[in-house]
Amino acid sequence: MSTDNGQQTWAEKKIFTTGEAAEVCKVSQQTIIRCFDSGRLSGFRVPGSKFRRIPRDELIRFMRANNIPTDALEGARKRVLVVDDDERILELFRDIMGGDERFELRTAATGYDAGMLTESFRPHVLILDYMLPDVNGNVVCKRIREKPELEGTRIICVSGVVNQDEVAALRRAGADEFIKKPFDVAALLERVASLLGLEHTDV
Amino acid sequence: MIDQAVDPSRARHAELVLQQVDALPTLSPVATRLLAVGSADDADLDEIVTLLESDPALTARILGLCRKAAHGLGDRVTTVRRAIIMLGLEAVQSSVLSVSVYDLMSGASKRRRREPAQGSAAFDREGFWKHALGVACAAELFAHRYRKLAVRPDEAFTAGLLHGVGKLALDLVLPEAYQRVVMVAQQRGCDSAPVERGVIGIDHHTAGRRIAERWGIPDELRDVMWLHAQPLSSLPADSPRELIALVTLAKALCREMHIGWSGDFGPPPPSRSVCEQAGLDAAAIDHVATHLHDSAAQRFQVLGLDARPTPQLLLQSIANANRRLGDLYAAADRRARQAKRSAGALEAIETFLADHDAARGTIETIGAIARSAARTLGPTRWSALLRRHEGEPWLAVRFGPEGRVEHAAAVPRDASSKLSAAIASGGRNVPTLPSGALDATGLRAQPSTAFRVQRGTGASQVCLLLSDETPAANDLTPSDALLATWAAALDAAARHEQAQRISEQLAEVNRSLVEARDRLAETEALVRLGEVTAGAAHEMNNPLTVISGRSQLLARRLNDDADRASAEAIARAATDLSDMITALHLLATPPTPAIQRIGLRALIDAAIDEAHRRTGVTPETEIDLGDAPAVIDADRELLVRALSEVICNALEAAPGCLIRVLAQTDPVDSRLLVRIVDQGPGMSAKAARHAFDPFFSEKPAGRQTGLGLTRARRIVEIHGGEIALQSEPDHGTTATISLPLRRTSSGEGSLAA
Repeated sequence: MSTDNGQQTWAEKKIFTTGEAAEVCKVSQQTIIRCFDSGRLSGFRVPGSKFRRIPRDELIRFMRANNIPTDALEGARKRVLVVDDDERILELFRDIMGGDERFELRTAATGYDAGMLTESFRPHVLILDYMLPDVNGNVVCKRIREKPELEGTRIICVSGVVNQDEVAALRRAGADEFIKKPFDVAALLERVASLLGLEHTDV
Repeated sequence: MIDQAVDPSRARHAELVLQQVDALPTLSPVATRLLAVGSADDADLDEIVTLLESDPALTARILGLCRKAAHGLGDRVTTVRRAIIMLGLEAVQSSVLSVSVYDLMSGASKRRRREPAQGSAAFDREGFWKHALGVACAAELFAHRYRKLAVRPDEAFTAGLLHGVGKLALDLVLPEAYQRVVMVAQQRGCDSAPVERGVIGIDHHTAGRRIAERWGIPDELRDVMWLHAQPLSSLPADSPRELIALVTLAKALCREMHIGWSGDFGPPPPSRSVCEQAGLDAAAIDHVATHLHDSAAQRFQVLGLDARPTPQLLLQSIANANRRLGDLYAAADRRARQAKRSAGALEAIETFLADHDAARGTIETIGAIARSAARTLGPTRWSALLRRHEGEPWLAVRFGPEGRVEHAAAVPRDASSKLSAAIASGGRNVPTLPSGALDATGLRAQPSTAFRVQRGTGASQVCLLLSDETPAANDLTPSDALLATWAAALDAAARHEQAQRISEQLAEVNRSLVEARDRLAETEALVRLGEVTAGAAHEMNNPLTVISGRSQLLARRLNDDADRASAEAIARAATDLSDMITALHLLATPPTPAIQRIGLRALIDAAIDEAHRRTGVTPETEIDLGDAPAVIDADRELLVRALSEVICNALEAAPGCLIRVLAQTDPVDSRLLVRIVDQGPGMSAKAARHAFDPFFSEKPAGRQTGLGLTRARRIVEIHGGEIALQSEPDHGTTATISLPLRRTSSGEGSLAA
């Protein structure tokens, strides 16, 4: 992991100066100071000085409240949502990707949970088992594609069934990739990374 | 002979005849009354005398008769009363009866009957009466000789006179029918009674009995009229056996001596054997025979039958005997000729049947008929015209001397219909063939001899047997029996051929049925497999994913090379297992082929590469695309898969051998044929049959899955094609893939038929 990556720095920062916050929010430092002073952006002053400091959580809250994209702040770790009704498969994915600094992993066991989580978690990648107990993978793909704010979400379908017709249907419904179970772990990670524009890194 | 009383209509007919017999005139009142008087003991003599004398003509003839009957008393019997006293009432009664019946019958016959044409067989009435009187006289004479029988001579005389009256009656009521009876009996040389039963329905015995009852004739006489022809041993116990015996003996003697005309033509029983049967002394026969002519001549005169004296009667008897002898010779000759012909026909049939084997076809059967005709009828070369069904053209066949087919040709359509019309109008006879009908058939235009061989006139199969030569003997035609045998054989041959055709068709249908059933069973099995593998693909792939994924993760962490290799092997095995499930699932639910235009050569190259990749062997191949199209429309991925499966199979069967891939266009139905030919050890018929079955493998158990060829066939099938293996042990194997070549220009859509 390279240390000169600015994004990585921000990703690890717990406390932001007004200058840093201005950079993250892509506004002027004066604007941050004004908001700080008016109380719209909470923080604290360094004891014994006038330097303003903003905690990470407060900054994120502020950014979201003002519809400022938090990508710059959080983009370092790619959010991955794995949907599968088989807990053993979910565990396998946790072991594969959970220890990987590049990914922030969430899991869901049903299509319903998957829908809810996509709203709040806004995953960069959805790894979707095609055969879900409640809804078909096709439907999940279509719902995601109907939401403009999820435009950037990549969908990888995973299934034991490799029927070309079904694969074609999934692609039409908005799936980006199809991976057959069982899969080669390295190959899977490579596919995810390439979909997210990440450099290939050996885990 | 014809059995009576079987057919109700016959019984009704007999009753009608008997009613006509009833309609004959009855006896005169004098005779009836006299017969009713009964025995002399309680008779009123005066009444009888008065009765008889009321008829002077009758009286005169009765007295004459009585005088002749009573030897030595002759001149003294001058009145009726005296006759009764001297001869007894019974004798007078007999005389009365004889005269009355004779008068009655001859009177009736004069009224009812015209004379038959000279020379034709007819009922000889005069001759018959002479026979009757002869029998009567003989019976009377025998009665005198055999006193121990206690039969009164006058009664014997009457019995003899009346025994055959039934014949006279039948001839009177049915003259034409009776003429036929006489004719047939004469031809057959048999007695009249069986012929009467056949022609008229009743015989003269029955008719005689009926007359006796109607006329009130005493029971003994009635029984003689009824039973006289029966063997003495079989007579009923209460019948007048002695009287019947006397009449039978008398009749036999008269026929031996040819007195009169009996109407019977069978061989008469020898009088001596009749004597033996009756237990009588045969010595009496000579005595009676000596006196018979005299006695009979006298009676003839009394009855006004004949004025000729004894020598003439004798001469007439001899003439009768001669004529009878002539008839017998003629009959014997006729019979011998018939027998000879029958024997010849029988022999011809036997020879034909031995020669002809029923299991052979129609043409061979006609050949056998031609041989049979050559043997029976003479000419050595025969031809045949055959039509199996109405509307079909005629077939003309010329046979050699041995019944071999020398030439066969169908009669042209026009000529055929002319021929059919001519033959149909010919009925049972052989028609005149229309001119020109047999041109172009190699048969002579108009044969000199022809026979029709056909099972019944309505049969659709008709065969005409033709010859250019005239049979050696002109009157020699095949007997009806031989013609019928030929026709039956021809019919049997046609049926046999038809049965054979039907059974061949049936076998063909059965074959298709079995194939269809096998395919259906296979399809059903695949559908079921599809349902199973669809579930399995999901249910089994998850655990396999866990096994595979976990072992991969494990392999990363393990530092020891052997441990890592172990973990990686687990992962690979899981993937293999999953692939197998996927393969099965694909078999059951194959994808719709994505048709695109692809180069045939590129396709084959790709398949060979794929086979190389999978087997690790670089095959030595020879590719010949022949006249096959350079570009075809198909699912590239699938076809490469299918071809590579077949090539892999060939590589595994014959490692290191040349594999030839030969393509061509099937000239018949424009299909692309791709043959993959190896020079390996080949396979057994069983293996070739089962090669496409899932998991079938002749390879040692535990190696590879047997899904390759199954998959190949599935892919070929969804392209609307077929795949088959031809193999022989030690001669390599050829897999032939046949794909339909008709294409839409757009190249879109499924190829599957």
